[in-house]
Amino acid sequence: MRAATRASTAVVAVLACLAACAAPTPPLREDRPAPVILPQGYASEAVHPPEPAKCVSNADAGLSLNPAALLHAPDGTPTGPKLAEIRERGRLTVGVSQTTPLSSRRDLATGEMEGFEVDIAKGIARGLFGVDDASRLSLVTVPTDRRLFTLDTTENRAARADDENLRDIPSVDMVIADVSVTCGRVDTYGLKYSAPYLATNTGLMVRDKGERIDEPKDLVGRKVCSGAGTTNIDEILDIRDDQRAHGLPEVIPVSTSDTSDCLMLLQQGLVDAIYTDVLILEGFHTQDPGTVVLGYRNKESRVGVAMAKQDDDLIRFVNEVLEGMRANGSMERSRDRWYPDPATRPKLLAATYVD
Amino acid sequence: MVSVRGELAAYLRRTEGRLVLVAASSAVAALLVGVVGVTAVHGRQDQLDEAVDRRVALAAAALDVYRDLADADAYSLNAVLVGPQQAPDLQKRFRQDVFDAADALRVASARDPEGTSSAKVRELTDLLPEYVRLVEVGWSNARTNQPVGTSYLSQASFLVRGRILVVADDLQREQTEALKAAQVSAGSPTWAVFAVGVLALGVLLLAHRFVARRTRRRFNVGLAASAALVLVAMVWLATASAFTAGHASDSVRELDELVAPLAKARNEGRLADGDEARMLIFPKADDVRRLRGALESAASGIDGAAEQAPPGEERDQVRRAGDALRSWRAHDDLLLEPRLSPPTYEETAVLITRPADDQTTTYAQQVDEHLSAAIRLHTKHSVASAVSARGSMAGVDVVLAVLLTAAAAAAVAGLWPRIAEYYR
Repeated sequence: MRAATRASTAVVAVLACLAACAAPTPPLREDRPAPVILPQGYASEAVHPPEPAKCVSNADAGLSLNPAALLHAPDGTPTGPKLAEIRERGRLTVGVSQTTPLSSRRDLATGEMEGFEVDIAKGIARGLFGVDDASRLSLVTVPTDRRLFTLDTTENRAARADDENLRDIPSVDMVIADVSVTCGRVDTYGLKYSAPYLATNTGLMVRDKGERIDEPKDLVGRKVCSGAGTTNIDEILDIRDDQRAHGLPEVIPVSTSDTSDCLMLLQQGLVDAIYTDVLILEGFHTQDPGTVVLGYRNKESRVGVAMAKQDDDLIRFVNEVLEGMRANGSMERSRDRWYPDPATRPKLLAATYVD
Repeated sequence: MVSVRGELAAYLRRTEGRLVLVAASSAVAALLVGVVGVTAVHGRQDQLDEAVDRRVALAAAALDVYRDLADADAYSLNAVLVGPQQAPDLQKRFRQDVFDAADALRVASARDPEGTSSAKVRELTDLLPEYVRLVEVGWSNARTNQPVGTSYLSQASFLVRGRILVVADDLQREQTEALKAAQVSAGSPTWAVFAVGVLALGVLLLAHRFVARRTRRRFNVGLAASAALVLVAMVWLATASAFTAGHASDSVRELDELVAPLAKARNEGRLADGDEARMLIFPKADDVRRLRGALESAASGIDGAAEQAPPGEERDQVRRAGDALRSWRAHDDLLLEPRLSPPTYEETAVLITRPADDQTTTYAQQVDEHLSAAIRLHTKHSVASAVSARGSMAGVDVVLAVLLTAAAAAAVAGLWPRIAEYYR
C-alpha cells in the first residue's frame, strides 16, 4: 500500500514537471543596441593623402610668383590670358568652405557668405572687375577632401578621368579654403600657391575640460577626427605610426569627407577629439561653447590661395591684390574682425617670391 | 486467409463481382476528382486570400513608407530655406510624413510579423528614430545659424537616401512581386484536376462499355449521369479558373504598367524636390546632373504610364502630372542650365520653396498630388481585380464537392440494379 502511494506520488511529480516544461513561455524582447549612424565619407581606417614621388620642400612651395612681373594695359588694368578669360566670363569662381565660421561660412537665413577668407575672395574679385558687385563673384562650396580637385589642371583632369566620383566636380579659378601650403599638393593636383597670407597651427579639441588630455598622445585607444585629404589627417596618422613603431598604445585616426562633420561626431560622442587647424577649431567652439580647444599646438603651417599652376598671370594678380590688402590694412582689419581675441588671432605673413 | 483471398478472386472473376468492382472504381474516380479539385481550389483561394488580405496591404505600406520618407527628406531641407514664418508649416509636414511612415510600418509589421518582410520592416523601424533625431538637431542648429546644422541635415539626408529608402524600395519590390506571383499562380489552369477528371471520364466510359457488353443494355443512366456531372464539374472549374486568371491578370497589369511606373516617377519627383534644396544647403559635385536626371526620368515614367492608362479621366489625370512636371522643369531652368548670371542664394531659395505667381502650390507638390491620386486610383483598381479574382473562386469548392459526390452516387446507383439482379 505504501509502495503504491510512493509510486503514485512519483508519477504525479513527473507529470507536474512535464506539464511545467510544456507550459508556453512568453517571448522575451531581444536586447539590441541602437544603430550607429555615420556621415557620408566617414572612414574608420583613415589613410594618408596621396604623396607624389618628387617633392620640393614646403618652404619652397610657399615661394610664389612676384606681382612685379604682372603685365598691365596702358590704363593700368592687369592683363594675361587667364585674367582675360575670367573678365570675359564676367565672374570669378572661387572654391570655399561654407561650414567653418570665422574663416568662411554661409548664413543659412540669407545665404550670404562671410568670414576672413570670404573677405579675401571679395577683394580679389573687386581688384579684377574694378567694382564691388556680388554678382561678379561666385563662391562654390566643396567638401574638404575634394576642394583641390576643383582646379582645372592636367593632373586633376587625369584624376577625374580615372575616378567617376570626381567627374562632376565643378571647376573653379582658385580655392580659398584654409589650404595649407605643402609641396606634396603641388605635384598631386598640379597647383601653385599665392604668397601665404597667414600662419596657423594644428590644434586639438575635446568635449570636456574635465578630461586629462594635453596632446594627441593622451588619446590612446580613442578616436581622433580630421578631414580626409588634409595635412591634419596626415599628422595624426604620423603620430599613430610613431606609436605603432615604438610598440605603444595607439590613437585611432578617423576621417570625414568634410572637416565640419567632425564637430557633429564629437557632439554625438562618436569621436573623442578633433585634430585640425586651430582656426577651424575656434570656429567650431563658437558653435558649441561646451567644447574645449586645448592649448596644444603642432607645427606651424602657412595658408595660401591655391590656383592651377599654368595660370601664372592669375597667381601674380592674386599676389598683387594680397599685397594691396596688406598695405592698406584691410587684411589686418578683416583678421581682427573675425578673430577678435588676440590670444587666438592668426599671424599675417609678409610675402616671399621665387622671382 | 488464403481461402478468403481465393474466394475474393473467384468472386471478382464472376460477372456480379466485376460489376461491383466497376461500380467501386467509378465512384472512387469521381470522388478522387472531387478531392483533387477541392484541394486545388482551396490552394488557390488561400493564395488569393494571402494576396488580398496581406500582400496588398504590405505592398501599399511599403509604397507609403518610400513616398512619405522621400517627402520628409524634401521638407527637412526646404524648412531651412524658408523664413521663420513658413518653417513651422514645413516642419509640421515633415513630422506628419514621419508619422505616416511609422504608421505604415506598424501595418506592415502587424500583417507579416514573422514573414520575409519582417527583417526589412525591423531595419526601417530601427532607423526611423535616428533619422528624426538628426533632422531635429539639424533644425535646432540651423535656427541659431550654426553651420553644424547642415552637417546634421546632410547626415540625415544621406541616411534616408542611402539606407532607409533603399530598404523601403526593396520591401516594396519584394511585396509587389509576391503579390503578382500569388495572383499569377492562383489564376493558372488547374492541370492536375483536369488530368484526374479525364482519367475519371475514361474509367466511366470503360465502365459503360463493360456494362453494355455484359448486360446487353446499351445505355446506363447512372453512369451517363455520373460522367455528365464530372464534365460539368470540370467545365465549372475551368470557367472559374478562367475568370480568376482574367481578374488576376488585370490586377497584375494595373500594378506593372501603371502603379509601378507612377510610383517610381513620384519617388523620383520627391527626391528631385529634396535635391533642389540640397544644392543650396550642402552642395555636392553632381547636384545639377542628378536633379536633371531625376526630372527627366520622372517625365519619361509619367509619359509611359499615360500611354497605358485607359483613355478619359484616368489618362488625363496622369497627363496633368506630366504637365506639372514639365512646368517644374521649365521653372528650374535657372538652376539647371548654365548661365552667365546664376541666381543668388535667396533667389534660388524662393524658386524652390515658393509657388509660381499664378499657382497655389509648387510644381513639385502638384506633381506629387497628381501622381498620388493616380496611384491611389490604380491601386484601388488592382485591389478590386484581386478581390474579383478571389470572388471567382468563391464557392467552387462546394460546387465541386456536391457535383462529384453526386457523380459517385450516380455511378453506384446506375450499376446497383445490374448487381442486384445476381442476388435475387
